[in-house]
Amino acid sequence: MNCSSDHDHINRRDFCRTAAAAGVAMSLFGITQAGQTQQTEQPPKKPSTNGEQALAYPRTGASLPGKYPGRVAQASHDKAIANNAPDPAVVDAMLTRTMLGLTGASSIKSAWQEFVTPEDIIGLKVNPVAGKLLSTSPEIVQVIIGQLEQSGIPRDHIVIWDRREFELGDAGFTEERFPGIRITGTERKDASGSFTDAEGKLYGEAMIDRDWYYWADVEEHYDSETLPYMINEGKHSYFTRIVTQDVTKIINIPILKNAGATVTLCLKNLAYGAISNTGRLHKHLWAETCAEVPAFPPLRDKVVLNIVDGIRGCYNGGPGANPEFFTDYKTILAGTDPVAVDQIGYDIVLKKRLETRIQKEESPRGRTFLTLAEKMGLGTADKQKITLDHALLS
Amino acid sequence: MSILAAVLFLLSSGQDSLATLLPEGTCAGCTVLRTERYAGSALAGYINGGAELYKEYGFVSLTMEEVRLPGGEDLVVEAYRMRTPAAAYGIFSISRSGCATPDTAFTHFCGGTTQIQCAAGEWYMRITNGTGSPVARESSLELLRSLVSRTGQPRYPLPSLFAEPALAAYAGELVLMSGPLGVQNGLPDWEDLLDGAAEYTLHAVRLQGDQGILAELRFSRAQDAVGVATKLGVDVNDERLRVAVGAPKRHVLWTSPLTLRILETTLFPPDLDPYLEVLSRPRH
Repeated sequence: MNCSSDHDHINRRDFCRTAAAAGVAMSLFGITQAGQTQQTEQPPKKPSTNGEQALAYPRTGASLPGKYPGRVAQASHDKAIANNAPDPAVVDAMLTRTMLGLTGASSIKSAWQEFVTPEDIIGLKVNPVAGKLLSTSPEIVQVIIGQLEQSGIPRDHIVIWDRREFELGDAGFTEERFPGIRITGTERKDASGSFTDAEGKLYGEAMIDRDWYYWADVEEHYDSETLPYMINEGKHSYFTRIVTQDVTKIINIPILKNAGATVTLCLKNLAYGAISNTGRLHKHLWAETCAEVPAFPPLRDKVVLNIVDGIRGCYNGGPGANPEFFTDYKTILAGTDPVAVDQIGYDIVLKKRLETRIQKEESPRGRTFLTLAEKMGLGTADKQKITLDHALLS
Repeated sequence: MSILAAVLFLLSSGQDSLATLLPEGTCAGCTVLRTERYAGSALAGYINGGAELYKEYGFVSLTMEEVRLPGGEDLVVEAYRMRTPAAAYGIFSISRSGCATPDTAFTHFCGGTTQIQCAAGEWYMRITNGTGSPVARESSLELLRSLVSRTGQPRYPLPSLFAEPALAAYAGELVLMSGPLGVQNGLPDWEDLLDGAAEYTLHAVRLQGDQGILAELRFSRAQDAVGVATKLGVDVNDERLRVAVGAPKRHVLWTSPLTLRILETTLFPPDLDPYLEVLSRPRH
């Protein structure tokens, strides 16, 4: 190939001219044609954040990774699904096994009482983003509530929450199904479907706590249709009052699913579920957001337990619902350490992706958020240091 | 894209033919339970972080309807208007899997038990049911056929490389990507190779039996072509078939200044030969 022949929609002379210009520019950054010099390309610099500030808040006895760092309990059961839905009795047995396996307690009541008391207001953070087909299942949440009640927690001390109140209903978290349980979200509509009150103010604005925020040097302008889902623009993402004021303890209940070559489990469910103005964070700071937001006290010091709904999940097409990639993992994971739980969940999803040839090998970026979260002191990402208690039930 | 831009785009093209998915006379006895429309970045209100992938391909608008069939089963019907037929085909190509009913000559189609989907011109459409029952599947098909006929748009033409008879078996497996999120979903093993490249179109198929990947990569910018060539250790000005440096083993050929064909494979001659022959065919 030489630089005098013409082809295609850009001719070779133009290409050489363009490439030469690019080469001049690139050589300024130390990049030249292959075989001539070593590549010295640097990755683009990440926007800065206030993640480090989270580390300045003194840790408490309740701070993540909680009572059982590096420990994960798992229970799997072949009959976890009946009639195309989680079987509540089987799920109850699976959850009981994971709670006992995690704590070593002799009864389910004493296992739960290690984490919550009747005085607590307990927020169950579910993930309803993908609608009724691929959200935290109401069945597992009912089982959790049942065990909490058996352990002395009054129903009116339990709150089911997520960022989007209206999505909770779509996913099956309704008053009819959960009588006596408060169901709430940060982004909300009134009965007429409007996001704003008579003064034109977003209802969501009253739900954010401007004293607690995640700052990142990246912003996005939202049009009027998008803003209700973000609540505010700018470089601040504010924590929801649900976590800063309403609840005293959080039980995090994500669903086992992928996001590209990584997963959206405990850390993602907490991080993106608890703050406003997330649209700007997906593209440049996904891993950082997952690792840094849960390191702030409203989450770090309130999350007592992570229970991954792995009854039915997905291995590709996530975080949205693409039924062609659904799979019945028939498993539940539990742990206080969200990083360790995510690591185990990540391995489950990765194994399925490799089996189905979605990937040939692990992506080098897949575990980035885990490594960052470990650096933030939230738990253990090193598989060698994680103790997994896996029970196969039948 | 702002709502205004999306509206202007729709008006200028005059093809907003699917603003209502179930017009009068369609799907007798069906009830529309809910209709939602999203344009531009408001898609995040529907699928949150998942919207980024659609935006990367070029999302314009979405109409979603929940439909109750006469027998009581519910369908979710989604019609995504994308910026180009390539964008619609791209999002379709990375969303399909296990297509029991394969691609057809009329449209890019994938039929599964609980979901059917297709790319027709600038539209990516899918219908999801919760049960996989024969009634739900048949109703979904009927509805999708109606939607496709209303778009009146032609099938996205595959690149000539993938129209070769030797690759006919792969027609239903071709994936099209145009950015990092597409690659994460469609060909995650190539994330590193394309890291830093900003404007490109990548068509790729995985060869049967884990034998490798055949791809055609078209760049819009010279610096992206040079960047990838650098990683492969080949000269962008060398128009001969070459083997890239390092692992995995990749045969590479620049067919134009901005077009690179890659055969990543574990095969050796003579099994390798037919693929090398396809790789070397001139573009037409």
